[in-house]
Amino acid sequence: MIYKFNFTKSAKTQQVVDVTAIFLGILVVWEVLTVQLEVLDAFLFPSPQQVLELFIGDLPTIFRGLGSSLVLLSAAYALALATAIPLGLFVGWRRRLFNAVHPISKIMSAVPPIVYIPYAIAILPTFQLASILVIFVGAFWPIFVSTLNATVQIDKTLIDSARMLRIKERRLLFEIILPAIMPQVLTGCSVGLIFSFILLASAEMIGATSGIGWYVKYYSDFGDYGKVIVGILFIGLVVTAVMAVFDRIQRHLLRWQAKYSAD
Amino acid sequence: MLEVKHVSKSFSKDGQSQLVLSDLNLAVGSREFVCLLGPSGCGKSTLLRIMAGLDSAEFGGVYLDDKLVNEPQPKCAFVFQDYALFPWKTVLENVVYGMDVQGMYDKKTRVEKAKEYLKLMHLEKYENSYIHELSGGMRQRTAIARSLALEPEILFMDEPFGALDNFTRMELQELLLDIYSKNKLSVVFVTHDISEAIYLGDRVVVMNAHPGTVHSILDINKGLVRDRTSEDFHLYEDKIMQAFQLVRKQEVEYYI
Repeated sequence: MIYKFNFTKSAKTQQVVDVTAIFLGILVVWEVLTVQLEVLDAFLFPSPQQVLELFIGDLPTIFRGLGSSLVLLSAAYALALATAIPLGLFVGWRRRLFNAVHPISKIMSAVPPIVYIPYAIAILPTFQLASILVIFVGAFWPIFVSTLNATVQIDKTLIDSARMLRIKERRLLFEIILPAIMPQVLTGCSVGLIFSFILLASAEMIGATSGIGWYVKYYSDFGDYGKVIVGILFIGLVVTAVMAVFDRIQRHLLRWQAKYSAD
Repeated sequence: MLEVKHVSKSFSKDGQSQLVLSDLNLAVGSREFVCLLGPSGCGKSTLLRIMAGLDSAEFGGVYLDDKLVNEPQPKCAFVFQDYALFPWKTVLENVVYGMDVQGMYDKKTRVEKAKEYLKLMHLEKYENSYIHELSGGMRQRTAIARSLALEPEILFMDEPFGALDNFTRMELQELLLDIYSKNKLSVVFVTHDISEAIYLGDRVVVMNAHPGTVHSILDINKGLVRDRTSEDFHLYEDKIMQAFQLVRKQEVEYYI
């Protein structure tokens, strides 16, 4: 036990060291290519220092943009969670409904949601509503499909075990089936979250007047590539932070599984 | 009194209908331990599921105190071979949950009762463990505690010790007999292990396969078989062996 603990700890330290080394390596190469050797075009490739200065100078604008982006994202994602999971459970549990819906959902989920953006902007009164709709669609399908398939494939003995208790359907769906398929549902949720970010950035680059996607598009139109790089790096940081929070929640919800209970 | 009357059941396999149970009759009295014994494929698990109301008979029916069983009945519990515990709940939560669904007692009493049953199954140290942390024997003890907590009048058990090693199995057999003697309940126990059936059952129902029917019913004098190595124990074993030999002979004649 102690041996295992030490092992994982040192492996973790090793990882931190390695990642930092790679990160610093990239910075050094960047610095050497732009400032020391000047082999890269200064207009397209600003130096690390320039980028950092731009980043600090633009922090207020960036964070305001982040605020408006996160409002869109969380509204759409929450809506997707609140609809996709109950619907997936219900449709997956009703055999006849499943047989009818499954082929339709296969076709609908195959459409890349990005193609809805121009149409959504055309039919909805505000850009906010249009992007919420598109992000919602992008997050909905992976969550719905994973919930649906997991419900259909659930271990029948678990259902029998609950049926022996003469359980009501509502409790069966939410207290037995949902926790049992939680691992697959969360996989769908994590795919849905990544899709949400892709669609958020795409929608903002097409029609927004604020937000992190808009920031990148706006400054690339002016040829201000320093700020473009700032925007790209910032989006990377934001997505990483959100996924880290997601990972925490996942660990908590699946703490009953062997692989998550170790830590 | 649980009565199986003229029950038949067939499954379709590769487009062909296959008779699993054929015109089967059986009665289980109250406070009786009945073992359903037979080779795999004799439909004993299917019969148990029909008796518990988890499956339905194609013809005939199962009656609990003269009432047709068409769904799981109150005061009945089922122990599955692969435990069917809820892995997202702790051991204690697993035991409490069934009582909660059935609206038994208030929350505090449920927890107290659950702890009592866990203690009975020697699991008091594992109340807050998750299922994946338990051994097979401990999992099945949790499943039995969960079933007992429902205060059942009939306990259905589908090869509950089939996946356990010999030592654990014998330990759990003792525990089960102890519980049976101290509680007012009937047990319907499916097994393919001849000595297990003799050791546990008041009656052993020997089943034929293809299709499943009752071959014979053996009353066990429990005073005689407390000792698994006794002569009487072997006598019962021989009787059942003979019964199965008979089954084989019939089949051979059939093929000639």
